[in-house]
Amino acid sequence: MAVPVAVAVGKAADPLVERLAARVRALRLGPSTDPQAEMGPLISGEHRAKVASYVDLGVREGAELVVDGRRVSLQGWEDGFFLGGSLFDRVTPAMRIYQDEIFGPVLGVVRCADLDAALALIEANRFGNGAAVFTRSGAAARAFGQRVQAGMVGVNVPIPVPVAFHSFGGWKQSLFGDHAMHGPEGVRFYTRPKTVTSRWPRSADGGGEGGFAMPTFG
Amino acid sequence: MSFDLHHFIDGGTVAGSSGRFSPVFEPSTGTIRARLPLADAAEVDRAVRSAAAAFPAWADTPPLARPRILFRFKQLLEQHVDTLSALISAEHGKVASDARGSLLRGIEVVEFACGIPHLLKGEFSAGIGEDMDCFSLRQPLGVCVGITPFNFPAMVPMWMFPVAIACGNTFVLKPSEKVPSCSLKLAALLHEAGLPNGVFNVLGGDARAVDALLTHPLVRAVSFVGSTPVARHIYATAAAAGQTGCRPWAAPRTTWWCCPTPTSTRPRTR
Repeated sequence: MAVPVAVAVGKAADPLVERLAARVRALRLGPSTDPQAEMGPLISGEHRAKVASYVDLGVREGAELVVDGRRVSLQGWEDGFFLGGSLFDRVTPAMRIYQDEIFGPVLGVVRCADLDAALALIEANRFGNGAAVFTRSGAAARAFGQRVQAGMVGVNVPIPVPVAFHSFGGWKQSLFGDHAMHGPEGVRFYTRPKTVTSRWPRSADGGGEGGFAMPTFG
Repeated sequence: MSFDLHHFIDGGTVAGSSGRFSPVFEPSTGTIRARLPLADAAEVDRAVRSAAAAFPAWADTPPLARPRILFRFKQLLEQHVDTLSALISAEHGKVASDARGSLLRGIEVVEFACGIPHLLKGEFSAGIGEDMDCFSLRQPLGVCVGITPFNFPAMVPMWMFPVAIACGNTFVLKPSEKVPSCSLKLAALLHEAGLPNGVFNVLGGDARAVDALLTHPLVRAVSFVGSTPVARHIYATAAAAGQTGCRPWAAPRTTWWCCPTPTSTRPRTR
């Protein structure tokens, strides 16, 4: 759920890309001491190089690079691991920039004809941690919530990690184990059940013999 | 300016003894701010044994008494929001509002764990047969392990240990070697809140410490958030070692690196 892909449905694509491009260009990079900063550096120099190499790859794969963050540098912080935001349009599921978790400020836009096609894309993905829909249509939001193949779902919320009293977990290859976590599922994960069946006979002789057969009740 | 970090075992700081260290960077400046000792099998064993020794008394502590420590922990967390957020930002690089938001999401889990007496209540069926009753309860597991990624230095560990220890387990946390300082500070605050020694331990370490934790015979549960190949390895290894009842939980990491984490009190939908 590093949100590396935005799926534009129907006529949403052109205005979405236009507005995303303006937003990505305007992203203010900075250290945490800058209260206006919106995005910090990447975790390491190696990771910065890896994320930048995915931008190179996307260009080679034929996606349309709308905003190129590779040459953004931050005056006074040139030795930090900063990388500007990059935006690709016309990404396809065959591209590695679609398939891999880039884990950095690179967003790819995939264009889809309708909601069914968008849901099919998510279903075909081997991961299913989280997915979000942005819409003003209640019907589309409801259909997305009911049908999407992911464990965490956002409706007009980009990071749908729930509040602490609800549980969550990925689907498909985004979770290995029998439990989700957080909330009541976390309590179940960190405990194990025990069930006691007890008999305290009221008569002094112990209430007769117990017998060897499986006990029945009622 | 660089300094040496430490483990937190049995209620106190412990210097590394393996001789192996990992540099902890400050991503904003590209400089090394500290060295983290990387635990070997002997240090892992020491931490797990400390947690195992603390388990019986902690599990027997009444379910009302355990969260009283967590209530104090929550107060301390709120007093130290700025310090902890600064540690998150220094070692991860995320902007101040995002660091603070992710910490607040972790504090929400502490608040949830404070309600553990209600959550641990069992079920009772009276008179299921002549002079007979049936009741179900949930008991803690023992030593639980958390292995956590770099992207949320406070929040992801706090998805795990507050609930684990509230349920009566003891815990060994192996945070990402890139962002260890926040976890070490959380351990200090837990003990300031009154947590008994050994209930919560933090190990600096890399893959070597992870493998020693996964196969340690006293470990009963492993929770992991990180990349898919590592998740698969941890799940398979912990499950294979789980003849004694170890339960693995492994999930690829979840993140949104450039947008502030929403908090329940101040949702951001931008």
